[in-house]
Amino acid sequence: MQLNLPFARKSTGNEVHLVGRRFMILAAVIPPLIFYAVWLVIPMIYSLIGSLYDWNPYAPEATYVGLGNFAEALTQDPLVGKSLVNVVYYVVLTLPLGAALALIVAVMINSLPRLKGLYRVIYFLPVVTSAVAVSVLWRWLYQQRFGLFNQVLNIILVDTLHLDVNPNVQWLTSPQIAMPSVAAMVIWQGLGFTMVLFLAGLSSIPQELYEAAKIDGAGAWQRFRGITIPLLQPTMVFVLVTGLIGGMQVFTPMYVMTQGGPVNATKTIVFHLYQKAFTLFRFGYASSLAFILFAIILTLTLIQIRFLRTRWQY
Amino acid sequence: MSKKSHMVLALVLLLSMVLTAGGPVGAQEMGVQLTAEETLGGDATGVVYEKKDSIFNGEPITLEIWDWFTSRTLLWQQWAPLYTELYPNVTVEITRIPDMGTKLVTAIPAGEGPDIYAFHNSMRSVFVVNDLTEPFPEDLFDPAYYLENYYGFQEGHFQDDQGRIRYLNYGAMAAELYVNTRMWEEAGLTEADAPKTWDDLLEIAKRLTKYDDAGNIDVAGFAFNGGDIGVIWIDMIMQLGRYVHTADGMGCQIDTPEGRRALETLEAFYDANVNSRDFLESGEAFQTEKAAIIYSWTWRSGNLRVNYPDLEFFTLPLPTFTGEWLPAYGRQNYDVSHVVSANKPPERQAVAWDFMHWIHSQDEYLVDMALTLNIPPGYKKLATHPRILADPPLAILAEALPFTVFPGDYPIALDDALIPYVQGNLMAGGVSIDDMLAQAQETCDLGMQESPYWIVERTYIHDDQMIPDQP
Repeated sequence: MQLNLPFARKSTGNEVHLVGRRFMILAAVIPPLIFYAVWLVIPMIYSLIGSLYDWNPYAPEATYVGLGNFAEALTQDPLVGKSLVNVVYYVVLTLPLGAALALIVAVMINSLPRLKGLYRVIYFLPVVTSAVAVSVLWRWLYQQRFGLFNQVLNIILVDTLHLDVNPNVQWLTSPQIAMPSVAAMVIWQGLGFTMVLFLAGLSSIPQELYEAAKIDGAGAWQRFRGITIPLLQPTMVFVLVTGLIGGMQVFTPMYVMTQGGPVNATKTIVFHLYQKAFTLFRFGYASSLAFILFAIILTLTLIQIRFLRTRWQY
Repeated sequence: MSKKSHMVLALVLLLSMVLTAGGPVGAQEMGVQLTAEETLGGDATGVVYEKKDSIFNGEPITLEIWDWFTSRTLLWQQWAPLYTELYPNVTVEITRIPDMGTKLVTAIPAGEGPDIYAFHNSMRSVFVVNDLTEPFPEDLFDPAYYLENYYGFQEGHFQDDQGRIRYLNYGAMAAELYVNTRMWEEAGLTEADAPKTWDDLLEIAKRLTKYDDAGNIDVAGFAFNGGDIGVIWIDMIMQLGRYVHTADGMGCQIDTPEGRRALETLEAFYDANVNSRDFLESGEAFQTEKAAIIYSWTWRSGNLRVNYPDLEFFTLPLPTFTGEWLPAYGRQNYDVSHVVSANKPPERQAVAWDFMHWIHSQDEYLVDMALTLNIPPGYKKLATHPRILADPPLAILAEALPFTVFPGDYPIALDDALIPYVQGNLMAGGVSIDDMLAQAQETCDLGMQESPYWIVERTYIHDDQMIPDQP
């Protein structure tokens, strides 16, 4: 017997609607899922397995070494420790300073009555410029004898102020100065991106809060400290977390500007990993370095999120 | 879309086209324009190339060739159509892949990649040992002929442990001094002033160095900053009779009296203020006429001719410590032929080998390639070819090559040691030579034990002139 209930027809319509919605959701979700699986998840799993082998992709067989690659990296390879220290130093140099400068620029641009768009574009230009091109350009700027920076220093310190100093800074050839020099270039190039994030954050802060604070007699600094900073905290967390993750994986500026030198002063862990993989074909060992880096980044990110968790709600 | 937007887009498009357009960089053109029929009958492989009735049963086939080097790719692109004229069913597709090494590493294990690819002898330890390239067939490339008529085969530099040819010798490269002609002449120097020793070079460099009002170097008499430092240092220790590696290939010989003397010699140029640590890298300095003389391997000839055509230069042999080329002039490295991939079906490989046989049987191709790579040809009889003799840097190099050491692999371990601890420290200053050498020695030894390398320094034909009983 077939029931012909009044809601049956309606139900069929809902089902069709539901099926359609589900199909749309799946159609939207599955391609990125496949993309991530093929380009991220599977290679990561493959790499994790590879890290347990003495794996040269050109060799007919890979030998299982268990945690041998990890042990070698952590106990025998002197450049792992050095490159990790370098990369932490790099992050310490670039992240807080880069974020602070970007915030200052964002606040300044945000306060402009007009031409905001123009300034946004100007500051964003380095972001869309090739990192390789920028690195080559800055290498010239840093050239010790004829580079622009030392020429300007010479004009200011010696020619104008008549100081008895040597303005010939070894920007990229001194082991002590090379990393700050690279960091300065990276801060300059990344400033626009972080600035745009802060501008977006600033635009979402209700103006009434500032107006109310003004009425209560709060000055500019108090408004900045009491309203802007707390309400930018989610943006700040995003900037710091992504900055840390990106900073720990830095490669291009060192590859182009210094090749990890001088005396390994700018050799980063990803640069070291790259050399192991593509010059020695030690893919297994390079994979183990990648997972050591992954573990470090994950730990630091969790700590960062814990300490920077938003505590203000308005 | 508004008219204005159209105009902006069109302008952007036009600008993009202008910016991306550009002539080939370092292109070497075919020296002699041959017809397809004229390419038949070549015998440079020891086996005369004769036209086949058909290739691949006349069915269409595209041979895929990979190379990382622009000039060589362009040269092949000029030669390959002649082969297609002989066999219209065969198309040869030559692709330049700058980062070829990282592409091959994924393509080959996956059974993909090209039929033929460019090779470098530093790839030997991995590619030949793991049989990723096919040995050259003896019926097309006569081993006895190569042994007799090409450099390096007597020493086994192109064969595997079983004596099979794994790649061919296009020629070898080493270093020379590159001299700015105008500056040399302005200083009143003549051919008779050509420096024979490093001390001579120092004196010549003093005459060529120019200073600004503040006493800083404006034009360096002899510039060598940058990557050249480690390479000069190797040449210098070989000139003093020391090999770079231990005989078993498991260690380095960096912290030695010869290593020390080489560094002292380089430092003397800084001390004499004919070069300074803050000065430009040697290549940049020479190209911008900020250096009168630089050290460089001969690839620079082509680079200068193409990119700096107005810069007049000539070359001189490297100076040595005694003015003689014994015990050695320095290090050399071969430029080697392409190879056939081992992971292709035999019927495709047969086509690839026929193409390889055809092109390597041509004297003119080998001359073209030598000129493209800026090296004297590996084929002995071409040393007196008019086009080679017309290239002075090659003529100088041809004389020096019998006194050069081919080390085999150039291990990354050596770069890892020399670049940071010798080049880096020397340019930064403030580190003693003893410390530089000790750090570099330790790093290099560690690196040599990390990966197997193919070290054949002791096959040097004047081995008896080198320091005896080296480890």
